[in-house]
Amino acid sequence: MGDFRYVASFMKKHIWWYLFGILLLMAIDGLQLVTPLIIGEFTDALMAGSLTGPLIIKLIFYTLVIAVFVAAGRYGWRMTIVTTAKKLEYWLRGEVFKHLEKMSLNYFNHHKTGDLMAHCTNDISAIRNAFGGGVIMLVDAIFMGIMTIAIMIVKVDLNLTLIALIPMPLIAFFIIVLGKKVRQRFQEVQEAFSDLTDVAQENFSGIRIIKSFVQEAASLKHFNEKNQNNFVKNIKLAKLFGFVHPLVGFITMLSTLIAMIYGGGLVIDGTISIGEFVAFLTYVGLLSWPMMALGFVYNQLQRGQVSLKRINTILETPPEIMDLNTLEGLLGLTPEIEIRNLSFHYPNTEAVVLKDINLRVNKGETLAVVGKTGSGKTTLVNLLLRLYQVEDETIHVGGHDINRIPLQTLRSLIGYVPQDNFLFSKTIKYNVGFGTDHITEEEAAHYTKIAHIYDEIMDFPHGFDTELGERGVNMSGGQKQRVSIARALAKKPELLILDDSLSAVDTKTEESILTHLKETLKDTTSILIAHRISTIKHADQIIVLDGGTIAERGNHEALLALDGLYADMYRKQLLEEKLSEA
Amino acid sequence: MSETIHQEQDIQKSFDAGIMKRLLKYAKPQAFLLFISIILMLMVTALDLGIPYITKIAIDDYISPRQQAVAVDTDGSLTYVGIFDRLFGGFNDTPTAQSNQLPGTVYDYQGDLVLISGMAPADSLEGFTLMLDEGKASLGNQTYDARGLTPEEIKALKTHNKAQVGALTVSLLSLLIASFFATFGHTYFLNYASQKIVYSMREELYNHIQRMSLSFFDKNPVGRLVTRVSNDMDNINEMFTNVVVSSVKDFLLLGGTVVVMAFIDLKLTLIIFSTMPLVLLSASIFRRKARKVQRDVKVKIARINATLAENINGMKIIQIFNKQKGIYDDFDVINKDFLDSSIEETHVYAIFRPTMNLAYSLSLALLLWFGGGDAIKGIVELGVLVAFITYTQQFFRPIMDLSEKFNILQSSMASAERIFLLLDEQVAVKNPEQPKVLTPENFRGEIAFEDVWFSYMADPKTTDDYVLKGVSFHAKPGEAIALVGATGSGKTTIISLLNRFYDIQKGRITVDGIDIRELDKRSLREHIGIVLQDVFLFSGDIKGNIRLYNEAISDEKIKEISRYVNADHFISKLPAGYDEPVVERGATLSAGQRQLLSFARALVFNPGILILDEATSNIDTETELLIQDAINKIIQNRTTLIVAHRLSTIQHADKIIVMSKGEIVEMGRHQELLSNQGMYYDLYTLQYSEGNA
Repeated sequence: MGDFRYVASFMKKHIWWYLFGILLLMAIDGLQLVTPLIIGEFTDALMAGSLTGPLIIKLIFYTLVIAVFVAAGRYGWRMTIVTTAKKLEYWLRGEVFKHLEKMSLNYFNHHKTGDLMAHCTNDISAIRNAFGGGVIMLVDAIFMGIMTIAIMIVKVDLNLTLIALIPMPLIAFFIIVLGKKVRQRFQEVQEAFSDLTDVAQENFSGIRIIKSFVQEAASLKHFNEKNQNNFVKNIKLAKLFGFVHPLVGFITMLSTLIAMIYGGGLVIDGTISIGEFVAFLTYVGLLSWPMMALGFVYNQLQRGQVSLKRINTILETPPEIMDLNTLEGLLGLTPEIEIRNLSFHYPNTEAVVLKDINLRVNKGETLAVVGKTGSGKTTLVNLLLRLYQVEDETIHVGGHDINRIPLQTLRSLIGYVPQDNFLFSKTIKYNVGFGTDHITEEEAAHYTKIAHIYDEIMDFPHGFDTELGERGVNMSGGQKQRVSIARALAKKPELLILDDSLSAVDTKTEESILTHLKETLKDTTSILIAHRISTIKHADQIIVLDGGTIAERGNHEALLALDGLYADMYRKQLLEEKLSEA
Repeated sequence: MSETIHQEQDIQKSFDAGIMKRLLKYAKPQAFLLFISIILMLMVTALDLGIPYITKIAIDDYISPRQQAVAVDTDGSLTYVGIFDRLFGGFNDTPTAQSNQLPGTVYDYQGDLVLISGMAPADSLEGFTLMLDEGKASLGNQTYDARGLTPEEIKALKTHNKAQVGALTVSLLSLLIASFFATFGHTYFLNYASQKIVYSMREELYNHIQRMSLSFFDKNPVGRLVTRVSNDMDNINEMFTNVVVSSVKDFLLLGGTVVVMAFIDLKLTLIIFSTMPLVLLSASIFRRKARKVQRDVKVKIARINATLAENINGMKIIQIFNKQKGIYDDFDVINKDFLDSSIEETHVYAIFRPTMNLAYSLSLALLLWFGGGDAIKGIVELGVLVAFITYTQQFFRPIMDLSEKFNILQSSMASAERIFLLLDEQVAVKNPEQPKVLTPENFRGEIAFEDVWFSYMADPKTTDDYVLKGVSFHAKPGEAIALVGATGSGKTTIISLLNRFYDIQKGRITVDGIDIRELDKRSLREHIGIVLQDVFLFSGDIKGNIRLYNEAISDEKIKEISRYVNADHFISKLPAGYDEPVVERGATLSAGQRQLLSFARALVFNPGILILDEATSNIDTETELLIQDAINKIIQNRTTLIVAHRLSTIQHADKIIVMSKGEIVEMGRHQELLSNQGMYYDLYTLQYSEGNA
């Protein structure tokens, strides 16, 4: 029952509706059992010669009334039970997503998108199936089974019922024994299928190599081995399934045979009436369904339980980064940063990414960070955004320990332009106004002009309403970068962070963007990460990161005079520039 | 991921005769097995239909007979007629095994059994009168002797009837056993045939995809192609096993039921059929509604998945911009939208199934009304009614399963259409009709590019659309050519073109003086070894990644080559040496190690031309030295084209080609180019200073 702890809060709200559906289901099941009784009465009356027109009309009336109720009831329980299960699916999906939104970056580094997606689709639908079809079948099978047997005993004959049911335990036996085997072979089929998929995936990805080395024939052979294995495993399953499936029907029919030979004798001896006998045969036939259903539902409920466990695991993983002992009543933050003796390594890893960082950026100042790939630049920014957890008293923003500042307050201070330019597959306007509640066309125009992307947006078919992504326009890397810049600016940030955000923009545009930025962001504190020295040479403070430590610091002139890493980088870039102009 | 989802929603057909015809063509080689499967299925159907028929005989003739056929001896004693005499003799035939016997009927007169001598059981008892006091009975204008049965005779009759019911049950059991095996055989052969069909379709599709040119792979994401080969093919299997053959069965079962019913009683059959218009009408309404609602559900779940994937990927941005609430609300709208459609789907199904049930009950009520009336009049026997009740049920079952089959059919049709679209795609880089072959004996390894123009676009218009703009160079056999230049200058393209992964728009590329478009692609590529910057490793082991499935290459050869290219050093340090497993993409090996491995891979095939795209990634000094040494060795005695990043490689080259924006700006030996003081000179000084840093 422990697995239901999370869904309990949903079920509490819907339990009455759900129970109503189950009761309805049972009522309808009961009602359906009346029809054979009517047919039995009909037969008896016919045999006794007491069948009259009015009696026929009465019986038909009952049949039709029952039919109408059954139809309405079936509609009713489907709409209550299945709908509740679907609402559960909707609710769970929302809960999982809401929870994922709270998880830190580290969580996503360790959980692949594909896996999370699988939980949101496969697991949640397995849970829905268990709560919907699974429960329906379970209730149906158990209730129908018991009711049918009860009626057989009460209405017809105890001995006949017991004798006719002799083969039934065989079914339970086979379901348990063979069911396990079926599951096992089913698993084998799935494994073979996923092997086949993997080979196709890998060989299509490596098609260049296969073609270069003229290994098409060998690759096909390799694929066909998996293809053949998939074939064999499927046939193995089919063989077993081909056996199990008619077996249940066969065993049920054995009951019918027993009923016929023994019950037929009872009729001949006059112990039971022919009507009872005919009804009895119908009931035995009715029993085959619950028997088959139990085997099936067993599987489905088990699968639902496994999925429920997995979803619980997600929902119960606490977010690594959350508001804890935060300062209350903090209204605004001054955009100044102080870092003291900061060292950092990523969770569950040992390599130190940042070591003994000490830094101060005052309000309105510009800090530039340069250094090779892997020197820790992006990590430093990630920490300022509190995407990872740092020790107390290492980073201070506006004079407060970053761990005491509510996340929302901290992040609303910052405008951030990431390295990987992630835009949503929605309109350009939506993307520009992403950090605001609402953006007017004028504002959007203003910020995109600063980011030097306005003219290009106007060239798109629908201007700001152009959809991005596969359904709309695919922007180039440089265009995306500039939209990202506009997006950060539209937030009117007091602290602007550009993480190598102009790499895909040519030097001239870059310069122009920077000039514009400087004009509009006079009071804004900014942090620029860049590869190109030209981007950052006017910064108030430049630090050079090397292997996680600050190797050099100062302004442009001071660093050139130092003739170290920075000066070296600068000279190389001048040369490169010359080359690219060639 | 999301791209695939959006792409997939376009095709939504439930049935297309053309596609079906094409699918059945693939089924042709398995026609025999499918035929056997169908025959077995017909057997099962016939047996299934036989079961209620035998039950009917048991009830009408032995368990609760109104009239029972007997034979009367001259001395008035009774002989009871066995089931098999009756089955083969027919219902009304007079038993004349012995000429001294008369036909007789045991009549059930309100629980009392009466023997009527000379009368055979009658179809209709209209006008039948029994005058037991007078010992007479008459039917029509015939009069027969009638008398009550003695207790002994009754006992004997009951014993006889029980034995007959037993015999019938045994024959029923044998029917069931036969049906069991026939069902098994049917399932087995059907699955076998269907899996065979899918196996060969898969093989064909895989091979077809593999033969496509690289431009095809540039356009189609691997994920989509994999889906065609895996899931879409499984849908086809679903269709063969669950729809095609079982539809034949359903159809035949429906037809068979109708025939048997009509054979037993035409009037009642027509009566049951009177609800058909209702069934057909609601089925066609359902079909239309279900299709629409299913499409909605599919499109909306695809949208949920695409949105989820996008939001998970963009979670960092969402969190930094404090957009959790807004994004959740947006997601909730999509999620809710899906819920609505999904409930609508439930609604459609929740109406259809009960409607069919209602139609069934209606048929049943009609059967009771008319059948009951006829039974009172004695026109219809009870057993017939009971059998009809069963047949009516049997008749409605496949109709109720319709919704499920419809679902499968729809998705498999969409899959089939996508598969066929892919199969119809033409190979862009075609092999010539009469390809020339480069034999190893005559192969020299001379390469020439003559005014080559190339664009990745299908229809380039301006000069800017071209990646290569009139590139010409010549490499003599055994020469090492180094290509240098900025990213995007066209170096990698030159490599792809030499392998004929793409066809050029203008100009000519020749190997040993033959235009590569006239050469057999296979023969061309066999002579070219390639080492790419991003070394692609297949999952398997080290050995397998060097020989690439080619079993002709011995383990010794692999080791020998690995030693030669300095790869043996690290391989032999691995726990399992050459048998060390390689996980997907070789994630456990360093960039340098992967590079060395790919040298071994290229050399083991002993190519006459070697293409080498040097890795730029950070490589530790020790490995760097090993790589350098290996490169110097492997370029010996073969024409080599190197995309060079290393100083030493460039210096050893026989010719250096400096590329910029798709054009050759300088060409010559190292010293010549240096003294020119052009672009190469700048590049060189840049690299040199980097080397010192």
